[in-house]
Amino acid sequence: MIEGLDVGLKAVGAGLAMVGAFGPGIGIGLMVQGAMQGIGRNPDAAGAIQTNMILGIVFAEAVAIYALVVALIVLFVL
Amino acid sequence: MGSTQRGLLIFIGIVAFVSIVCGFVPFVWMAGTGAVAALPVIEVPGEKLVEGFFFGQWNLTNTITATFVADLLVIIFAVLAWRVSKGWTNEVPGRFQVWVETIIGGLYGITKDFAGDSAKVKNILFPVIGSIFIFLLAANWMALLPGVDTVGIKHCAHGKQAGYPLIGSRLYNDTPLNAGISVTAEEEAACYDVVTYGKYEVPTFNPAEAEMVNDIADAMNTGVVSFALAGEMGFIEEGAEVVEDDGHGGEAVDGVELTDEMRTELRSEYAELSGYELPIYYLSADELEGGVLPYSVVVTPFLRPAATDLNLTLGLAIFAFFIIQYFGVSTLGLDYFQKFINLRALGELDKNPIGGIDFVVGLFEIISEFAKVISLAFRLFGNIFAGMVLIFVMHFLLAIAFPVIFYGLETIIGLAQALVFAVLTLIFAAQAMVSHHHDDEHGEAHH
Repeated sequence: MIEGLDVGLKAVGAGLAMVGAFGPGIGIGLMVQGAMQGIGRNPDAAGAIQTNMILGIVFAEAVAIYALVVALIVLFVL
Repeated sequence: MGSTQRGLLIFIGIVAFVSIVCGFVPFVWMAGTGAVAALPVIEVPGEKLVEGFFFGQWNLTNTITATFVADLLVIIFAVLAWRVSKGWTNEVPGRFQVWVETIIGGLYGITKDFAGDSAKVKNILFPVIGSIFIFLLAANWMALLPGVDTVGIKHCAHGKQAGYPLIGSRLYNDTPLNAGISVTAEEEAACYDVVTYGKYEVPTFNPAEAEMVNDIADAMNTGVVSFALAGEMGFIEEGAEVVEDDGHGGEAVDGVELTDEMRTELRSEYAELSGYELPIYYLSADELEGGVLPYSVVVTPFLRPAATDLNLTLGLAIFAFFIIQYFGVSTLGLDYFQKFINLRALGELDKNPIGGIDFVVGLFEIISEFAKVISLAFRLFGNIFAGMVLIFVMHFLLAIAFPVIFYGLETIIGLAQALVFAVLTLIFAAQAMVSHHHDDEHGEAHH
């Protein structure tokens, strides 16, 4: 076996796991876009929109965090 | 002097500062003293401090000590607030009391917005949410204090831990971006004899021995055995492959390519000369005479941010899960479980056949209820652990000034994750208190 192959493959695996951050990135972008449009049209509702936007972001971000946890496990546990 | 010129001067000043502090100091000046920022041990489980500390069965890990310290901080905070406000009776608040009241008032506002202000919410849910928030805030922000995750016990690296040589009471590392070497069990045992039990003498070399030690160290570190050393060890007759330097490297190295057999032989020769069995690092004679121990030593910090241990976040998430179920059951009674196993929809199948879907959806609710635990636990763990790794790696890449930026980021993340955990528990509990049946009847009345 090539020396250091296992370490290299681990790094590749961790990188591949982080592809899971792709979707949440788009999702968070769309959510903030919607919220900004809402605030632009109705600035009075900014407070309520922000609270709900952050909640939505947190749920989408959870998926990215799962990918991150998988990447960390591949790097440091396996 | 126009503003452009002034801007140019400031820009030159910043560039000079950054290149000295982030370039010269960590990579040239610090490397010369044998102290370069080392990559700390990154391990997912909490690192053991004392084995069998709890009833001889469970280990004391550094995340547990951090949890206790965070608890202590919260208790001190509460006692101080109580003392300052004279048992919550002080009508004219001082500065500290106003600050505490702002935090608590804000939390109570959020609780009221989502869950109303019934007696149960006021007396049980709000204290739980507030405790979770303040505890997590203390635990997360503790990571930003000096000494946390840095000061600890030195011991021999085991398993996949990558350590550095030891000099006196500090690690010795003169190569920037050196990620350390991991060890086998025998090497760890040899290291224990030397580092933990002190069975060693600092070697002294005569000039011939010193040259030999330096040659072996060069050979082991570069992978090329010089002809002089190869001749002395008798490697040349064995038909070894000759490496001729093409002059592109920094130093001209001509010699014989190092094979595994040569490696073993050189290692035992090095061990014999220096008196250190199974050495891991090949140091020069000067360094050995200066008292550097050629073993792989790591530092286990006394404190590591509590939420970087999955045990804490999972425990907290399971606690939150029971709180959510308690609020569902105590508000709706046994009706609460209709959300999961919808017997009503099953019973009304003759009147409303499509209601069968409600029954199946209810079964999925069971899965989503347990997914809440996993999602809460991993969100907190992932964020805080990633923050810890980020700060480690930034210190490793550029030891001075640069990592400060990431401490600012971590402050925000620590606050946001504490708030998110508390608010999500609140929202789930508020959702559990709402009757789905009631909504359906309301809808039917409209038809």
